[in-house]
Amino acid sequence: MTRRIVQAYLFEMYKVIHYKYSAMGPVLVLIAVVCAPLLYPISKDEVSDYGFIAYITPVALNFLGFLLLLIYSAGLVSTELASGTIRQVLIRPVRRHEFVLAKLLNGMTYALLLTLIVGASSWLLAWLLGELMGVTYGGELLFTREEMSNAYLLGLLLSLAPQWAGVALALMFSSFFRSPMTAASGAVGGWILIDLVKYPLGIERFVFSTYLEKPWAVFSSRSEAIALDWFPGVWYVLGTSFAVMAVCTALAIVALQRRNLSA
Amino acid sequence: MMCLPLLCLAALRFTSQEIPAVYVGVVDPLTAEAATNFVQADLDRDGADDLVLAGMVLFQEAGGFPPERRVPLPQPDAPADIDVWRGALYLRSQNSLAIYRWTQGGWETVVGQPLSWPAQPPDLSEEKRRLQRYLHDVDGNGDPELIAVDPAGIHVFSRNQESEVYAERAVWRILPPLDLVQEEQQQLWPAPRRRLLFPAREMSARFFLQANRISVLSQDLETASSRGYVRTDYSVAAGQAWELDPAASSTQATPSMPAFLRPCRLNNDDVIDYAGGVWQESKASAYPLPVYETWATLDGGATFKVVREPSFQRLRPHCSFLDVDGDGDKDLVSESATLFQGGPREMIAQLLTRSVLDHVLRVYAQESGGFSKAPAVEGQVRINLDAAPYLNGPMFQRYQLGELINFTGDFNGDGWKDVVVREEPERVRLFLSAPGRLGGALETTWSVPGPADIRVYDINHDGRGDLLVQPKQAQQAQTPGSLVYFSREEAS
Repeated sequence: MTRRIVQAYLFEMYKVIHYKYSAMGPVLVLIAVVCAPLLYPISKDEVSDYGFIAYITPVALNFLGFLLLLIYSAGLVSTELASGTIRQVLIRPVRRHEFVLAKLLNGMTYALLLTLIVGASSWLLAWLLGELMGVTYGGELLFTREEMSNAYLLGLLLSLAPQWAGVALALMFSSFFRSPMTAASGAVGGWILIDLVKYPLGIERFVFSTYLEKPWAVFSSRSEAIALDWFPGVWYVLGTSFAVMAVCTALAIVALQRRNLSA
Repeated sequence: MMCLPLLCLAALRFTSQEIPAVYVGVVDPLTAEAATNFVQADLDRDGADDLVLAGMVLFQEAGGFPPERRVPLPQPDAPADIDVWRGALYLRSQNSLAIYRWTQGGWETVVGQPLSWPAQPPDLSEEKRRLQRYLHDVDGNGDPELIAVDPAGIHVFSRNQESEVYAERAVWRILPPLDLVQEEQQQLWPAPRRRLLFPAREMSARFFLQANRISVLSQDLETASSRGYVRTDYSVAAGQAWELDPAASSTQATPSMPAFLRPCRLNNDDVIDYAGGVWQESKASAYPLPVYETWATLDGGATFKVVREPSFQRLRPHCSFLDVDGDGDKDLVSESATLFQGGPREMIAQLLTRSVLDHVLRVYAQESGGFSKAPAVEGQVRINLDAAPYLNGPMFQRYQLGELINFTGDFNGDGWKDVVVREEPERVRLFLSAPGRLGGALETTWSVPGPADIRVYDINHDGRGDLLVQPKQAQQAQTPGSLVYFSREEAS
C-alpha cells in the first residue's frame, strides 16, 4: 500500500509542477515578505531585527498563506471530480483511500513549501537589510542569536502541524463537493465560522485554528524581550492538529468511497 | 455581637460583620499597601489591635468589632492631628498637645499642654481630626518624639524627663533649598494683558528616621525622562543635645535613572531601592500591542531587573511588588493575559468574541540580592467579563482598573499570599496558594452585591487577611458600612 501511495504522490507532484497556477501561492507569500520592509522598516543600526521576522511570519504564513493553502487543498479532489479525471486516475492500481492519502501528502508538501519560502525569505531580508544579534534589554543579554534561531526553527516545524490540519479540513470539503468553488468556500467559510463561534461556545481549546499562530509565540515574545514557555502550548498544537487530521482525512476517505464516480 | 457564622469549611472558617465608616483603598503597586482611613493600635491593652478612625475607636473583641464597643474620640477644641503610640492617643493641634489613654471605660488625659507647632499649610477639609503620623522614637528610649516639617527644616519636639512636658529641642536644617519653579513665559505687552506671577519656589525631598540616624533623599539631575537621587545620612548626637553630628554624615548619589522609577523598600537592607512601571509599544507585532515594563533595582541603580509583559493599554497592574512567599523580601509580580499569547489573529478573535479572560500572574522571587531570571511561581485565574472586551463593559473597566484581582492577603496564615478573584460581578472566589503555586486551590466562594468594591486587608491584625465588601464611595459619610469577612483559624 505504501508503494502505491508513494507512486500516486509522485504523480501528484508531477501534475503540480506542470500546472501553471501552482506557483501562484508561493509567489504571493514571497511578494508579501519582500514588501514587508515598506510597513516595518529595518536597517543596520546595531539593534536586532527579529521583530521584523516575528511580524511578517504569522502575517504571510498564517493569514495569507493559510488562506491560499485552504483554497489549494480544497481543489485537490473536487477538480478531479468536476472534470472526471478521477475515473482515469482510479483506473491505475490505486485505491480510493490511497488516492486521498496521496492528495493529503500533496497538500502537506504545499504547506511545507510555503513555510520554507516565508522562513527563508524573511531571514534573508533581515540578514541583508537589518541586524541579527542577541536580544538585550536593560543592559542584559536575554536571548542569544542561537536561542533565537532555535526558537524559530522549532516554531517552523511546529507550525506545520496546524497547517496540515487545515489541509485535511480542506481535503474533506474537497471530497464532499464536486465543485472546486463550493469546496473552497466550504473550507474557508468553515474556518471563519469555527473561529467566530469557538469562544462563545467555549470549545476553543479543542479547535486547531486556535493554535495556528501559537508556534511563533515564543520567538515573537523573545524578540520583544519577553520570556514565554513552550509548554503546554506545544501539546495543544500537536494534539488538536493531529486529531483534526485524522478525523477529516477519515471523513474524506469515507465520502470518496461512498461517492458514485460514474454520475 | 453581630458576628454571624457564615462558612465553616475544612480549612478555613469565615465570620462576617458589618463595620461602619471603615474604608480601605486600592493597593499601591509599589508598596503593596492600601490606603485606609484608620490605624491599628491596641488602645485598651487587651492584646488585640483596635481600629482608630478620625472620629472614633472600634475596640476589638473576640476577633470582631462589636457595636457596643465603638467609642468616640476625645473632642479637641481646634483641628487636630491624631497619632498613636503604645496605646496612647496623641491629639496635636496648632497650639496644643493632648495625650489620652483608655482606662476603665473612659478617656484619661495623661498630658495636656500648650505646644506651638510650626505653621502648616491650611487644611481645606472640614474635618476637625485627621490621622497623621508624626510620632517617631528618634533616640530609642521608648518615648516618642514629635516631628514636624516646614521649609526651614525638621523640627524635633521631645519630652523633658523632669517636667514631662514636650518642647521643641532642635531644628535640623537639612532639607534641600527651595528652587524657583519654572513658570511659563509671562506676557508683558500689551500692557492691558500684562499678568505677572509672583515667583513660586518648591522643594521635593523625602526623609526617614532609623534609630538615631536621619536620611534625606532628594532628586538630582532631573530631566523629563530621567533623574538621579542623592541620599544624605546624618547621625543624631548622643545625649539630649539633639544636634546632628556633621562629621558622621555621608552622601550617596545614584546614577541617572528613568524618571518613572520611584524610591521604595523592597527588602530589609540599608540600600534604598527604586522601582516602577512604564508602558511601551511592541515593535514586533503586526499591530500596536502595548507592553508593560516593570523595572526594579536593588543596588541603587547599578543594575536593573526588567520584566516585560503584553497587556491592555489602560490596565493598571494590581500590585507589582509584594512579598508573595513570606520571606520578608518583596518579589516582583508581572501580570498579563493569555489573550496575548496566541498571535495577532487569535487575539483579535478573542477581543471580539470571548467574554472570558484568563489573567496570568508570574512571580520573580527576590533571592541573593536580585530577582530570579525566570518566574519562580505562576498562577492563572479566570474572569467572566459578561461581554467581549471590545464592548468595554463594566467588568472589563473594573479589570483594567485592577479591581477584580487581589493577591495581597494571606488568608490561612501560611506565609503565602492567596488570590481573591471577582470572577463574576456578584461572585468572589478565594484561591489558596502554596509553595510553587500562586492561587489554584479553590477555598471558598462569596456572593457580593454587584456595585460593591472588594478589598483585602487584615482588619483585626491577626496575621490573616480579611475580605471587605464595601460600597462605592465608602470613604464618604452617610454610606452604609463595609461587610467584613474575617478569616479564622482552621476548623478541626
